Order: sequence, then structure tokens, then C-alpha cells
Amino acid sequence: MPSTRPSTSSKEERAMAASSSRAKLLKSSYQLVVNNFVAVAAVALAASVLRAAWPVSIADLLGWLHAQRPVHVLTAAILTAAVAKLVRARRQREVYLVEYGCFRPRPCFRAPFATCREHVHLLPFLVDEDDIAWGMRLLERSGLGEETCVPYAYHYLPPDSSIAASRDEAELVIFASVDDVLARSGVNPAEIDVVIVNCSIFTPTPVFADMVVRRYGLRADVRSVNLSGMGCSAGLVSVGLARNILQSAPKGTHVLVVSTEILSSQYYVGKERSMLLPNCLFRMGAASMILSNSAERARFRLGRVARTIAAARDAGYRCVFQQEDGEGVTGIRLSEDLVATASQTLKRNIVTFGPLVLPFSEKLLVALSLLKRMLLSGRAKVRLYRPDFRTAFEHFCIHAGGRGVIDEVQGGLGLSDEDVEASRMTLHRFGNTSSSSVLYELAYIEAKGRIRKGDRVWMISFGAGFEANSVAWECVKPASDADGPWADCIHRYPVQVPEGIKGIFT
Amino acid sequence: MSSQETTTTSPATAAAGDDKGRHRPRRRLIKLVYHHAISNAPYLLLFAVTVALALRYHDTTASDLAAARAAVAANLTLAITVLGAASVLATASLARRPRAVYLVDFACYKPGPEHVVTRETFMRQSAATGVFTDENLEFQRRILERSGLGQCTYSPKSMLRSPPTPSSMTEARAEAEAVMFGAIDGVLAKTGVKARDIGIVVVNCSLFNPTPSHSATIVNHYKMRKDVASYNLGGMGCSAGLISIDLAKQLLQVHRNTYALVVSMEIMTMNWYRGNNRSMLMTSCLFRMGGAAVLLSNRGADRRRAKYQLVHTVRTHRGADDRAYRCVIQEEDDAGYVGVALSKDLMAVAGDALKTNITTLGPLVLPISEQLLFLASLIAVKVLKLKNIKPYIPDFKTAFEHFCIHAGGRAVLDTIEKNLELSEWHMEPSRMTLYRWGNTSSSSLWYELAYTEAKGRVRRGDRAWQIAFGSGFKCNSAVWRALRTIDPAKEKGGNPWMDEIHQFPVEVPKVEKVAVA
Repeated sequence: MPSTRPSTSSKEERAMAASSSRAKLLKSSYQLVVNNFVAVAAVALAASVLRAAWPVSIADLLGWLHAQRPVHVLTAAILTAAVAKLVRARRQREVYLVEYGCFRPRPCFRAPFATCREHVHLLPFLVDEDDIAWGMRLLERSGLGEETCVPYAYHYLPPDSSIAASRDEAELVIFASVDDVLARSGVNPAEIDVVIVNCSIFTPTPVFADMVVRRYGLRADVRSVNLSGMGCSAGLVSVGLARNILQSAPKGTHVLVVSTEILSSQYYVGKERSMLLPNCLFRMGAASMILSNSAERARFRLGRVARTIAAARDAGYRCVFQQEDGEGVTGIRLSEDLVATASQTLKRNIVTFGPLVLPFSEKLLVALSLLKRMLLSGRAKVRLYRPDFRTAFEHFCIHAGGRGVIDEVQGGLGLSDEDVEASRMTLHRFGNTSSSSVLYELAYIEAKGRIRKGDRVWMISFGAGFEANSVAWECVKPASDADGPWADCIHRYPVQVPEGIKGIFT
Repeated sequence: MSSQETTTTSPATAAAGDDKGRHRPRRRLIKLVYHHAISNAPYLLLFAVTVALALRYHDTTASDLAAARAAVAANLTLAITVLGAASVLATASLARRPRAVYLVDFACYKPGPEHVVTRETFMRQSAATGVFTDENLEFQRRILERSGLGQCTYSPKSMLRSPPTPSSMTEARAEAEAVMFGAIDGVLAKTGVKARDIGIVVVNCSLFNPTPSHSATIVNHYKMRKDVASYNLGGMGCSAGLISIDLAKQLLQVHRNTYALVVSMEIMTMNWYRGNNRSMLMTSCLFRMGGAAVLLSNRGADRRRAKYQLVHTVRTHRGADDRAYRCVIQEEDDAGYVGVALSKDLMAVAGDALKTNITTLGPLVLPISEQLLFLASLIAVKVLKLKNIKPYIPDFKTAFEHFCIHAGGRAVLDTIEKNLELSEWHMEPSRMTLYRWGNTSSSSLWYELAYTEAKGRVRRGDRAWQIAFGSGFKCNSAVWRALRTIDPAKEKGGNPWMDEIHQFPVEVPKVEKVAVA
């Protein structure tokens, strides 16, 4: 609940409440009029026309119609129908999310802080005391809880980075999430026409898409795509790709999208601090979605999609970079200007996305403030109006990249704590599961029963590249049951996560 | 390089040289007449209908025509609305057609002379690593002798230095950048397209997948737009080149008036198997450095200057079958070294996948005459259950003029030559690419097409079939139609064969001795 300033007397309190409710009333009536401007104008026009042309009666109209030759009327009707069909055919197909499923880790995979501390001490040849203390402080302030899960490979000392271990982890998480989505959606594997799998760090031959084809016996003409190296936002990139494919595919096409990050082979066994962060934050997870271009069995409708790539600038390209450190140990280096690059790319993405989704009322206010700034240039630094995205969306799923990142986005967009609760709680319960985190967050909001028909959701994620992706969904059918990755723990959430110092990921 | 020359023959003369008796020419003549009759059946029908109409209306007088014109004038509004409706419907049906995809141009990467690896060099470097047993060195030598590879293939520097120490990610990135940028610079120079005009980038590389991806590297180097639709396909095997083309085709249906850049390559650095499992040794012997960049377009204005139009893509995935899935698999051997193992079932699985692929492709490309024959033989065998009738193999030479078969290895090329009854002339681009460049994985199809162009074989209207197999097990086909005759003298650059095409074709012996140092 947003905190309110304590007032000195009840009279002041009542006056303030009255004025704030008046302001709210003014704002909502402004929004109503401006957003439905066309409807309001049409009603006004129709009323004036009827008033002017009142003497014309229905009988006259019908008589005029009767006087026309039937073949003319018929051709006019056919022509209108043909034009309408042409107009409809030129519009691109709607894309829907039929269902989604997540990997639900069992408690045996848990990595509580005590385990992390113990393991790190048992590998003394890797890091020194200062680094251990730094890492543990990072962990405690990261916003992660005690129930986040790591693969079996991490329970070995040193971690098992073999291909066999990575394949085991991949089969575990991917098959669990695909089993989940197939069971919940009722879609037959033979109906799947396209498989898109994204995993950034680990890419074996044959690839995960082939693994899914084999396990579920998909058809021989299935089109498979495996995206690798595309970072934490690859999940939403896959959604964008699925959308492009579905828009030009025949009706009834189904696309299976699997998002995951396989951690077994990428545990950093070196000393550089800028490369130790992924060890602390990344956790095991996977999520699958089935998308389709027919509304049958659909739960969400896909709205606008915006993708911003900052790779053209060196700072953006190098801010998350997999390379060998000074001693030849491979890891992912996070540069010092990651925060600046991330916020700049996010801002550009939101600037692209905003005009696509904001209602006209907000766009008008932004335009007016832009105009004001242009007219008053030089005299005063006018702050641009920050549009209220809560007029466009009811729920927000911000990639759980780290606590600091969520705070930054919350501050930048002016969101409340309740709006970012899904992100914070997902970071606490599951850690940073990379590209699948936004789906865990959606599962949280549904588990809390907050999504109703017509609610709009904004998923935003960002990652190596550097790129930022935004996707808008609208709920067509709420979840029918409370089953999901949060089923066993939703009653314990939300939790209060202890405050930490400001930093990149803390 | 062996300097034996064979004259380049066209398929007709090559076929006529076959002298299996007097019956052959007569049977061929009958088949030719049948083929032309069926292909031109619609025109014959049209001719017959025109004659009938002429006979029916031959006595129309001027007054009949005047009466018809008066009738139309009386119902002018009706006539206009009918015409309007007809044109609107025609436009609607035309607008719903898939957008044409044109191949504006392509360029293959040609490494510098410092990357050349002869068969002897390869053996010397393998021995210098000190990890292989003598039996396995002998095994590798035997593979090289029968491989069909020549003495001018290319390897990355990390495999050629002395001593051949293990390589690093930095070196792998350097190789990737050299290959990608070399090929892309070539295609952009040839077409004059600016990087800022490219709206779609699809990159495929199987064995090396860094973060950020190769597509991000390209966007960074060429300073592309922030809304470019870039995708990086990893791990998809030797058939990934055609998967990228198919993906670009689908993206071009949705993104209007733009270019798509498709880059196919394979990175050998960090993938040299240093263990002693025999099934994993073959890949190092056959795979070589190479890459290609292809520029596709859906802009109508490019039709005039584009080389080819993409007609069909057919993708087949046999992963549902366990034996096919395990055919090409990357794993650790008993000693913990990572390598790509090829199973003994590879040829059988490839043949199976090919059959499935051409079963789908056949009806799309074969002329009606061949399809009828195939149907007839199918009915005879399956329905009528007649014995002594061999199932008819459709003659794909009636559907395509040029064949680009992924140069996976000599065995694959031999199998396909036999199964599809192709001649030496048809197999020449694939065999010469294997000889000159080795197995460059997904980019080999483009080296083969470049060979076809450099030899001046491509005429306007010719159809080319590209087919590739790879891990998964996947088999993919693409069919291109040439929009103009390609004059090799006018190829500005980016065709890696240009300086040496007169030396080809070369007779590649079945076994070529490799001297042991």
C-alpha cells in the first residue's frame, strides 16, 4: 500500500481527501472524453443530422430502396462485402497465447545461503577471503530468497561442467515445462507446427529444438528454430519471432516456444569480480508457451511488440560479454557501464513502445509537454510529462534481472510497489531464471487471482546484446485453476525483502 | 592439384554417350513426346476451345454486335459495378499471395593463403598435437586419402600454428569476425546496399555460440538500425543454411520493402577433437573453414537486378526417430574430450530423410508427366500388387537444371548420385566444392552455386535445387529460379572461384595417397 503522509488534523485530512477525489474525477472524465473522442464526436454528429433531416421518415427510405432495380442492390451488396473482406484480409492475423507452463523445481535443488557459503569455502583455490565476503554480501542483498534452485551440477565440488550434466539439466527443465504446457492446454504434440527454443549459453549438437522433436514425436514437417547467445531477453525475442511466423501462416498454426538458461556448464571458476555476478544471481528455470493464430482455447491475445537493440554502440555490445579472463577461465563479464547502458536502452524501448500502447489522453499530455518545452526553450528546463502506464496496463512483469534493476524501472515508470510485486517475489523465490522469469511473474499474478478478463499485461525484459524487448498481452480467459509453479508457496507471499544498499544488482 | 582435364559436357551429350542398345533412343523419343504432350495440355485444350468458339460464332453480323453494345449501354451502372466487383476481387486474391523473395546476390568468403592446409599439413599437425595414437593417425590418413578433398582447403590459424596448442574464445571470435565480415563486405560491395537498409539479419553457426551472439556482432560492426530483426541460430547443423533462408523468407512476408541478410558459417577454432574415439575423428578430417553471406529482398524494384527468386523451401525433421536423432551427436568421449560422433547409420538415415523430403518436394516441382508416371507405378505396386515392377524414381532432371548437394563427404555425394540417377555434369559443382573447399558445413551450398555461376551455366529461367543434411536429423531443400542469365565475366567480386575456374573440373581419384612426413 502506498504510504501517506500523516496529517495534523482531521479537518485538513478531509479537505485533502476532497481535493484529491476532485482531481481524480477531473482526470478520469478527461481520459474518458479524450480516449473516446471519435465515439463522442460521432454521437454529436448523428444527433445534429437527425435534428436537421427529421422530416425524412423510415417509410420514405424503404420506398426509395424498393424503387431500385434488384440487380443493382445485389451488386452493391456484393461489392460492399468484397471491399470489407479485402480490408479484413489486409489486416494481419491476431496472435494468441494458448497456455504457458513453467518448470517447478523440487526442494532437493535448493541452494540456501548457507549452502552457497559452505561451497564457496570448500573451493579455496578459486577465490580469496575478500572475494568470498564480497560475494556473500552481494547474495544477501540481492533480493534472492532461500528457496532458489540450482542444477545438480552445482552440488558437486567443483561443479560438473560436462556436456552430459548440461544435457541432463536441459532434459529435466525443458521436458517438465513442455509437459506442463501440453497438459494444461490440451494441445496434441502432432498439432505443433513450429518449435522455437532459446538458450543463451549452452548449445549442444543435436540442439534443444531437436530434443523436443524427439521426445514428443513431433511431425516430420515441423519447423524448428534454436536461438542461442541472445541473452535474457531471448524469451520475448522468441515471442516476436513466433508472432511474425503466425501472421503469415495459415489459421490454426501452433508454435511452441521454450525459454530457458542451462547453467551447468557456465559456473565461473575464476577470480574476477565482474564475472562472479552470474554465479550469485542466475538460477535454474524454464518456461514454455504455446502460441497460435486462432482464438480457440486462447487465454491471452498478443498486442504490440517493441524491440530495441543497442549493439550498434560498443558500450551496449560489450556490457555483457562472454570471454576468458586474465587466466584463461571463461565467464560472463558485466562491465561498469551496464547500468547506464541498460537504462538508456530501456528508455529508448519505452519511448518506442509507449506510443503504440498508451491511450490518446496520455499521448496528448506528452505532446503538450513537448510543445511547452519547445516553446519555452532556453527560458526554463521543462520536465517532460511522464506518461502513466497504468492507464494502458493493469499488470507489469519486469524481468527479474536483479533488485537494483527492478527498483530503477519502478522509479523510472512511476509504478507502485504492488505493480512490481510480481517481479520482486519472483526474484525472491526463483532467482534470476533469465529468459523465463517473465513467465514466472505472470504465473505469480495469476496465482494471486488478480487477472480478470480484459486485463492487460506488460512484459519487459533486457539482456546481452544489449537489447530490450516489450510485449503487451490482453487476457481473454483467466486461469481456470490455481495450479502453477507457485501452487505450493503462494500463501506465503508477498514477503518483505530486507533493504539493501544501492548498486547494480543489489 | 591434379591437372587432368575432362571436357565439360552438357547433360544431353553426356546421356547420348550411353550406348546400351538400339532401344534406348526410341524409348527416349516416346518419353519426350509424352512429356511435351502432357506439359502443353492446357494450351492444346485452349486451342481446341478457340476453334469450337470460332465455328459457333463465325456468322456474327454487325447488327448482332450493335445489339450487344446497346444492351450494355442500357445497363451501364450494372456493367460498371460488375466490372468493379470483379477487379476488387482480383486485387484481393492477388494481395493474399505470398510476397516474392528475391536473392539479390551472395558472396562466399575466401581465406588468405596463410590458411591453406594440404593433406600432408593436416597429418603433420595432427601428429604434432601428440594426443592421437598411431593407429588413429593411420585411420585419419586413410580417411583423407578417400575423402575427395584437395590440397587447397583452408583451416583457421589456431590449427596451423606450431606447436598446435589448444585455442581460446578470443581466437574463435576472431575467426568468426574474419569470416562473417569478409563475406558480408563482399555481398554489400557487389549489391551496393547500405547496412542501414537491412531490416532482417539471420546468422547460423553450429559449434561456436558466444554471448552476445554473432548477429549482435554484425549489428555492432555495421552499425545497423536499432529495430533490426536479428536472430542467431545455433547448433542446427549443416542444414542450418537453408533453415536460415526459410526463416528469412517468413520474416520477409511480414516486414515490407526491406532486405534480409543471411550469414552461414562454421567455426573450427575450439572444435578440434583431441581424443581417440574413432567415430569422432571424421569431422576434423573433413570440416574446413568457410562462410557465405546472402542478401535477400522483397522489394519489387529489386526484381530487375536480382539473380534468383526463391520458389520453394521444404524442411524435413526426422528427430522423432531415435536412430536418426543419435546419428550426429556432440558428447564427451571416455577420456572426457568433447567431439562430434557420427554413427554408422548415417548413410541409411540420410537416405531415409532424403526420401521423405523429395516425397514432399516432388509434387511441387516435378512436371505433370513425371508425377503421372510415378502415380501409375505407385498404383501398380501398392494397389494392383503387380510383381516385377520396380517403383519408378521420378526424373528430377526434368524439374531442375542445377543441383547443389551439401558437400558433406564423398559417400553422401555418391549415394545421391546413384539414388537420383544424376550425371557427372550435374554432380560437378558439389564434387569440385568438396575438392577445393572441403566440407564448409552450411555454407557449402553457396560455394557450389558460385561454381555453377562461374562456369557460365546459369541461364534465365533455370531452376537450381539446394539440398542439405545435418544433425537432428534434418534434411532441407530450397528451389531457386534464375531471373537472368549470369555472365561470369561480369561478376565483380565475391565469387571465390573467379581466378581459378579454368582449372576445373578436376578428376578426383577414388584414393589419393597422402605422404607421411
